[in-house]
Amino acid sequence: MMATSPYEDLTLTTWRNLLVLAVIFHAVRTKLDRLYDMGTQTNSVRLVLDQLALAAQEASVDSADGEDEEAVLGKAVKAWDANLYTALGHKALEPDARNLLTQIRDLVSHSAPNNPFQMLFAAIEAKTRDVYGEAWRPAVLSVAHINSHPRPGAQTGTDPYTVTARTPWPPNGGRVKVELHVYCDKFGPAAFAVLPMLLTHECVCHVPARQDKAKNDSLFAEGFMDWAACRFLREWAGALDPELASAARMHAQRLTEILTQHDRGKEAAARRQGRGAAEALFSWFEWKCKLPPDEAGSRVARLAVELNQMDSSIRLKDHFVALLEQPFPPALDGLLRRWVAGEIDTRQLFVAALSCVPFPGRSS
Amino acid sequence: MKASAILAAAVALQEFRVRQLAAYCGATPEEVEAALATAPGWIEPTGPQQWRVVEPDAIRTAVRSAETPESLQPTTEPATDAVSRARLIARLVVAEETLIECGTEESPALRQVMAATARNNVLQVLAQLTPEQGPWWNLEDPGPSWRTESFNSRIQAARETAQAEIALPRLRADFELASLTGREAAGEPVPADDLVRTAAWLRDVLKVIVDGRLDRLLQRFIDLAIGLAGPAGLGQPGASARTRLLVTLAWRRVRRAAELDARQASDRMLLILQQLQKERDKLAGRDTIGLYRVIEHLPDGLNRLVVYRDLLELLPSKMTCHHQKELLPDVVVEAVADSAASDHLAWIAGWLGDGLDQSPFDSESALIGQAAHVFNDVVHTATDMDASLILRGDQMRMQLLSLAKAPARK
Repeated sequence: MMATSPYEDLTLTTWRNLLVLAVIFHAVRTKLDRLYDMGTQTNSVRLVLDQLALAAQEASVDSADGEDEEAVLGKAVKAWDANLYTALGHKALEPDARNLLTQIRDLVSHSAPNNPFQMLFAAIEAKTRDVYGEAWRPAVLSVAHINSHPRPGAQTGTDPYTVTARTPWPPNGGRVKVELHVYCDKFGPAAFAVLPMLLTHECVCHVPARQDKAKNDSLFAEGFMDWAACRFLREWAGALDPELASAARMHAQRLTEILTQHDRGKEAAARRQGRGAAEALFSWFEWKCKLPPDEAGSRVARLAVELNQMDSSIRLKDHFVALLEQPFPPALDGLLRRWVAGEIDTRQLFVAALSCVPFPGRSS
Repeated sequence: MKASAILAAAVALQEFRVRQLAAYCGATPEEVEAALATAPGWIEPTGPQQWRVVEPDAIRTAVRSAETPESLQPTTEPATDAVSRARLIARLVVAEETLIECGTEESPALRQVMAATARNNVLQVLAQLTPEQGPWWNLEDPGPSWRTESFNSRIQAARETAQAEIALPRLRADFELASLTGREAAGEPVPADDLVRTAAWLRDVLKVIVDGRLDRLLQRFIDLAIGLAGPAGLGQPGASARTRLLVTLAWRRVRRAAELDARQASDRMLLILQQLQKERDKLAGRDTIGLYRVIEHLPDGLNRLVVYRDLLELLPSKMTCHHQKELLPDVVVEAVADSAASDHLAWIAGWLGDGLDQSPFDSESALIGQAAHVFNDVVHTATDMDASLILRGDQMRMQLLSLAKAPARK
């Protein structure tokens, strides 16, 4: 029987290559932070990571169409194990590197050919479905290859996140498609570790969104919602995969810094301002309403989720977020206090807040 | 998972399902159920797996007593004193991008919202620069003019605190453009003075700052001004076809120029608006823009003319005419011509004017097309005087036809 790629946008060879890498990174996920850090600092570790890429490529290219994923993985693991054995045989190998590579060699020997992309996506989708309840839209994962870094001009030395995700708009049919775009040639440990953040962002921010259009520089969708997605990931990371949790949280933070601080474009500005608005609201709940931090954070996340599932123009949602600059206008302050007290619901808060500072133009 | 964290999230949700609450706080459904059991009377079931918080304050008190003092300290300072330069720049970027996007937003209501979003961002930046003058939302009087003393005084105050990246003329130009955008979207008349003033601010900013976003902002302003002033110029709804042709050409040429050199186009835009304002003021004296007019007879048979500039391209080379200054940039010039050139220009202007007056088509593109058609006829009538007219006339015709195809913008 012919093996096939599970994703229509990936050839069988590319899929096998990517699967090998993902399975191995998944197997060593407790060491991903260390592997990434030492890979950037130590020649011997950088070399074995290069050798892993080569082993994955050779195994995927050399395998017959009929070979199953386990066989392809077995070839790659065997080849890379030989590389690790050789590396460990060098007497000059640094003690830290020796320790790490020894542990990795042991972990890789237990790797299983499950699809880590699908496993992560299914777990994140289940969590997000619980958050949104009936407003959730069923989603399906797609994986595709891209030929370059997702941020043009970025170098993997400073931006190792060679993977990105998108959710095409509008949703087509019954299921929303979440697309993971992977630069397979440079898919390393950091890129694997950031997958939970990317998938959580797509599921929390975009899959259940009710709005008129997609907007990559939306204060609401890419900033305010992203703050909520990051919060959810911090809460979920342990349950999604306890062994990946540490790396997932750390690389989520690093990617956020890259997306908001190292870019001066309009998308970065929107992310920065939208996230800043969420932070301002969080602080306001803590300082002005004297709410415990856990409640304050959950309230911001709840507001984000309820606004996201509210059918309304993204322009209006952006306008709402832009109002969240401390000190809040008195009318907004009052509305938020009534919302905290349960006197008005989120829709009432949203509608009333939009005009709490007059619009330009007489007929507003 | 601590029960206090679960209960805190429960208060945030007010009404919830068990799995929903578990997802909000990273707990398992079993941990949630166990936590709910610790708060009898404070949370009550409303259905299968559904709960409602009935005593939020009691839960908050319990949560606080269960937490360590450190964990109850607010985790971040309020933003007022901690807004970084990067955040200010981000707001400015968002404001300007929002104003630019107004050009593609069909809905006037949403354009009005976007104008408010942009305006609020500008006010927030300014308030951060002048915190002693009060909060951002206190800057604005909701009057129709949108020109407030408070904004001006704050701009003055900000001169001492502004950072290099936040140019005050830029803030002012953004503010004015947001105001114009809002009023256009609301269908409110915009005084010519406001257009001229905004053009002047944009020109001043473009003189000192090179930034592609400002170039696009100027293009947006030009589109907006064209929409507000209309093809007839400022406040001339019943303008003749001749006037409408000239004003339309001025708009379309400056719009095209803005795509190539925003800085230069900003100068021209200001001159156009100033000239249209003058023309409007002269309307009572019927001293309006025209295709050809002798304004002074000079010695030696020379005449000082105000003439539609494209007509000069159709003069045979043996006739003399010196272009002296731009009145309506790229469209109407003041020139000095000998008597033969004056007569020839008057003849073409008459032909064109008759064609425009008799044209059954009313759109601005049709007027430009009509001009191109007349030029073609003029060239073929006058080629015996100068064969090079064919080439010049053809170039002019092609240029006009390309302008006639320029898309109309909001």
